[in-house]
Amino acid sequence: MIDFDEEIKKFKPSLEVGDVEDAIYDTEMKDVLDLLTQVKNGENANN
Amino acid sequence: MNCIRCGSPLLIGGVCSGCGLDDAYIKKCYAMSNVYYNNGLDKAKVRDLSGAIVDLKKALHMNKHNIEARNLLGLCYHEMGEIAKALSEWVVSANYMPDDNDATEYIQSIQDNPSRLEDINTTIRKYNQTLNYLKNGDYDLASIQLKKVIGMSPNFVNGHLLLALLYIKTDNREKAKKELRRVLRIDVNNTLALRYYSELSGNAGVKRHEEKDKKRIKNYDEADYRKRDVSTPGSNQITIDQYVENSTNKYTFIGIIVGLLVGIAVMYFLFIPQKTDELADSYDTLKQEFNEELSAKNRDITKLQQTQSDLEDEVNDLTKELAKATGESSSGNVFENIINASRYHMDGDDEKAAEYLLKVDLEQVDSKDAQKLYNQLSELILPQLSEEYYSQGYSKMSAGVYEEAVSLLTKAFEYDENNVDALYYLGRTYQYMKKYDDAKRTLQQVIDKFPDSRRVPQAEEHINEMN
Repeated sequence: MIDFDEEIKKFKPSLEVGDVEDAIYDTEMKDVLDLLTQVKNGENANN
Repeated sequence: MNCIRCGSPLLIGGVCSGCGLDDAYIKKCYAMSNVYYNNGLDKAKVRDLSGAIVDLKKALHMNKHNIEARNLLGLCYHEMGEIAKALSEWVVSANYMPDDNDATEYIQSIQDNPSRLEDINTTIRKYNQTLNYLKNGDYDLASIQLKKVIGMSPNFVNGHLLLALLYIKTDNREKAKKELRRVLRIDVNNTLALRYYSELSGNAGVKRHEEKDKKRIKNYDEADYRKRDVSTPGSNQITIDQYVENSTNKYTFIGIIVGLLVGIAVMYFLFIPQKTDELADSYDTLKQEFNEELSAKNRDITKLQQTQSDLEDEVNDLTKELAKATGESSSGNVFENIINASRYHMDGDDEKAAEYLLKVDLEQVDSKDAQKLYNQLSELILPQLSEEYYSQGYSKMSAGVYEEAVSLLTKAFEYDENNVDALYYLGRTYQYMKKYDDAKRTLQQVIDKFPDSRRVPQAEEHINEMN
């Protein structure tokens, strides 16, 4: 059975075009290789 | 050898001197990113957009510099009506690779059309407003707004889903299903749409839908490009990569034509007669209403005319009363006329005084004093003047100057209506002038008005002369 109120909560406000720039800056874009680099640098610092 | 990620030289053992990562890891990640990208591409080709988005995101998690994956992700968002998200991906993509990048063209195509950009913004704002309406329980407003949103952006999946949810809430299952089918036409494996559809139709419905999708995907794969191995026996008639027309298209086309014909027939035999009857009924009702309204208006007009007539009578009565009270009449102020007559009499100009006295209408005067003054002046002036005019008139008549005689004798009788001689000789003058009608009429007045006068037998005699 579909619970309307619960389902409505799944719909988030859509991003406006004017806010795209801010959204890009706010998003931390890291891939797996960035994480590996970060881990590696952390190990080196500890050593 | 240089690192494929940062371009720095590789050290012995394959470790990058710049980022410090093992080249093998990097290659592995890049390969995995490409695998996800290929999966995403395959899904996007069969319109499994949400599935493609998941894979493309994974591809970007493995390699954020995968430009193709990022561009395709933007395209998927764009196709689902999420323009802002699409732009976001393309902007990042263009930033990583400014030259020779499709993302630049995509961004340009949107930015070059300010009205479209404005439309997109409006659509998004309306959608966000709709969410507020729904949260506040304003379902009618939300429904109207959502229809506008979908009208402006027909591929906006979230809009369709929200409208479907609203229809489900208002127990409008068929409309909800229709919206969900629209979503599934844009994004064949949309999880929310499938779940809602499943709730509405039961599992059988979903299975049917899935089978339909599989069939469609199969058709897509088989129809567009049918590859044949050159060495395969019996494949001489079909060359490599030859485009083959899907035979089901013909049937679809025929089906559409037949459907249209049936639709037209139904319209002609069922819908149009029914509509004609409805229009005729509506016309009769309107005519009846119009006639009733017309009758009511006519009654109102009659009433108003009656009221107007009553009011005019009332105004006339009031005007008369006012004239009596102020002494106003058509020949000026009654009191002024009497006063002027009095003044001219005292100045010795009785002719002028008489003119003013004749203007006075005694019926308009309520004042006893004014009436008394008028009577006194009239008795003093008018008989005397009448006698003067009579003797002048008589002289003129005797001298044969009839025109002047008529004028003087008329005045003489006007100033004194008891001057029977003046009236008699006026009639005689007309007789001399051979104006027999006027003469008879005037002499008849002598007989009628002064029956005891000595002039009566004479008048009768002259009338007989003229007959």
